Amino acid sequence: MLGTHVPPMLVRAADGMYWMGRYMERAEQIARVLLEHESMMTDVGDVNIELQRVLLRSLPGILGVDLLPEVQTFLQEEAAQSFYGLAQYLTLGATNPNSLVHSLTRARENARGMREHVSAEMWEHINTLYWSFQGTEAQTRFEDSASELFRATIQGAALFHGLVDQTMAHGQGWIFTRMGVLLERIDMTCRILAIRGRVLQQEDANLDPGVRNLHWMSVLRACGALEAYRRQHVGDMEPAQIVRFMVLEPGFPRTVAFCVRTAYGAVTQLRTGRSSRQADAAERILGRLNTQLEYADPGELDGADPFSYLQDIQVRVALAAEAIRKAYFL
Amino acid sequence: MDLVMFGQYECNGIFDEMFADSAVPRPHYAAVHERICSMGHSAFARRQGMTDASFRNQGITFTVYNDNTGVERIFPFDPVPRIIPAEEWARIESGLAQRLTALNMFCRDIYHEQHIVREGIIPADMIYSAKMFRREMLGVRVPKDIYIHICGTDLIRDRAGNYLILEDNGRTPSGVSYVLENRAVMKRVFPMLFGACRVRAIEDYPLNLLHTLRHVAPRQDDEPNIVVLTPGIFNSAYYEHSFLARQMGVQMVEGRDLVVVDNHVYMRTVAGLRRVDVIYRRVDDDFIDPLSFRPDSALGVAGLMNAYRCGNVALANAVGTGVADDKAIYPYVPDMIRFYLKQEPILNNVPTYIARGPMIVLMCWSICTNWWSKPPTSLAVTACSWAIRPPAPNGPSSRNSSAPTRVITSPSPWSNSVSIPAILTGNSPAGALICGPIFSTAKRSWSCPADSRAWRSARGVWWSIARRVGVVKIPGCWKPIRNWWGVCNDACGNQSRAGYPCPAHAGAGC
Repeated sequence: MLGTHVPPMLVRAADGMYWMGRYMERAEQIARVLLEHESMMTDVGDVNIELQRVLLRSLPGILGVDLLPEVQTFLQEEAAQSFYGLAQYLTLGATNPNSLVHSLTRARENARGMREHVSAEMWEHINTLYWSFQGTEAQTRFEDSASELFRATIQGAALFHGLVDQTMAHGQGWIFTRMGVLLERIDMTCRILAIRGRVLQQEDANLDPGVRNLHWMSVLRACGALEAYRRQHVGDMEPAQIVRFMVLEPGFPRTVAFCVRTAYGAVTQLRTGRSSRQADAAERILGRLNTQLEYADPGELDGADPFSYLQDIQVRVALAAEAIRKAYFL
Repeated sequence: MDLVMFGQYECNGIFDEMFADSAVPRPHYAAVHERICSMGHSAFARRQGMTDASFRNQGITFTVYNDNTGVERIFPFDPVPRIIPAEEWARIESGLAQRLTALNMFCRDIYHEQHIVREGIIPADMIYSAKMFRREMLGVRVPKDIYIHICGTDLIRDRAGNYLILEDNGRTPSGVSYVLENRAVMKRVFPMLFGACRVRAIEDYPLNLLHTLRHVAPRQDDEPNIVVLTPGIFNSAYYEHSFLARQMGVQMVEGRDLVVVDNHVYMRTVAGLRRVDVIYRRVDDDFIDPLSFRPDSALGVAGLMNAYRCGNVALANAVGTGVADDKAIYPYVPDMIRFYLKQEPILNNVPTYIARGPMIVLMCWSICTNWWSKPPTSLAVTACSWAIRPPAPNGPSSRNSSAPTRVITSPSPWSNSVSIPAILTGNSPAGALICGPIFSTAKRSWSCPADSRAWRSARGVWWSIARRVGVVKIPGCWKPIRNWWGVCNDACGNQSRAGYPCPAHAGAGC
């Protein structure tokens, strides 16, 4: 139950907390995807040049920026044809509104806009992280070692999550931050699985079993779930099982089912804060999705195209985000 | 060792905070002087680097406008403290309280009976021509009759070391968060300097401020809902607004978070509208209510003035206090103290002459070309800059169409100023100023001890100097005084490069 003595948050502050969480998660996911892509490329980059090219081209789609006009212009350029050229654009690109650095900047701007809701430790951390990515320093760091830059982001995000949990009151501000993180994570996880999965499925016949294992391991690593998956499923990588794990496993915090359940719990808590008897739209959408995933028949995902199932989840999460915006941020 | 730290330092015959003459520190500086000397140059520089990193990581910044490379800067920070002995501070404190009490009585009087005008102490045209005089406030009762709840008063020392009042900032003064944060950082990085003297704590400032705001709440029965109204994150003092909100434990709002319904002010929360009782506003009068003042303001709250007039919300500071810190009113403040309080001023003004009529202006100008002038915030701005500016090299000035009606000139703060050691950073400008933030309630006024490095921390003060240097360009005026080189180089020629705020935008309410 939310503390009754704490005054309700300002609409603007709630909006800011939500986006702070969302942008921080986005930065982390960009770093994970690029870090993993770099490592995979080192391992199997020269095995199948055509597949590698397709995977490279799918990167902007995974990060959800492929339809932006600015990004499309860049993708025509020469620099976009190599991994480091593209990765640099996705990390630092000035015209890319969803670059890693831009996401960190937005997370920090949002935090700065509601300093009285963000704990001092959180703020200092976000601010330090932000400054370490500013100016020519970031460019030098990227050229020096891109993977170090990605690792620093992932660690920074982990520290952020820890500070959110440990230094903030678990009231409305915390819930909104969590909501942002969770919805962004579901969205990104679905996209990684759907886009990568589809490419790999199409190429499946041409893949050597060893290479196939490496590719699917890299999908799991991009989702941050390789070790958790291994603990449950030993042996060769099984695509259907991987998708099932990432979507339905209730006990691991990076799976879709886990995030949906937590987000649903958070949104019901918000309702008590709003003292309304009626479930709002976001609660309805997330509640139904939660039930669907909780009681899903594992076979549901094994059809000819599990990826449209993922797309359906993505659409419904987007609707939930829109409903939250309408209910709380307007 | 001494040679390394202070060997190059000269006092140049003006009042120096630390040294009675070139080599001997003043008694109250002896302990700090000794510890600084024993530290050595490199250790000192390293610790200073630590302070800078700490400011940046904590986001203790101000905003530089018109600069593409990055809008946030940290303040240059000089770790050499400015020490004010207790007995000196006691005098300053009582002087500030006296002055603020008189200014509050003046505001109350001007917007009601106007005794001071009827008695002929201040000419009526001085009041009515003041730009910040608000007709909208005539006859309005403000809670507890307090107009200036928070005042930023600039102090200066003359050649003999006496404290004088340079100006009052009675509208939306800022700078106190830097006092508090500087102290926190200083304690962390230079704890040994604190061991040398017993420094008074300043951490209760936010609590005192909260008490002041609670005191004026219209609803006294319930816990009043207090908010800090900020213009937003692009305001140069945004850090301070959020700092004070956090320290007081109240919400910080922007104009768009507030709505007025039936002459009550509410804020928009995720659980619906919630009544607001006291607004500590850091938005200028001009922008606070588009229905009453500037209609193009997007920072304000439509209808706020009506709610205020109805007594449903308290504003701190009140609207219309600008009449009290007007440059044309400033020379009359000692008279105000005598008139309202029947006391002699404890702290005096900088000697100031009111020049009314063109001949007197020309005379003033010819006598004191090395004096400094600041345009009053009233009508005579262009006239003033014409009168004071030296003739252009290419011929007579073309801006002589309007005859000046009045000009306030006062002796240059540079020729009167004090200096403190600036050897350590090379670019640290010497300072002369102190800021004691003051609170007042109906019962009493009290002030918070200024930071030991007041010139640095009293941000409003520092900026107002920078602004003056930028506005009134009198070549040759300050150059002879060696310790002020830093100020001129940074603030005058290269504002953006050196990281000081643009004079046109600095400290909107200072």
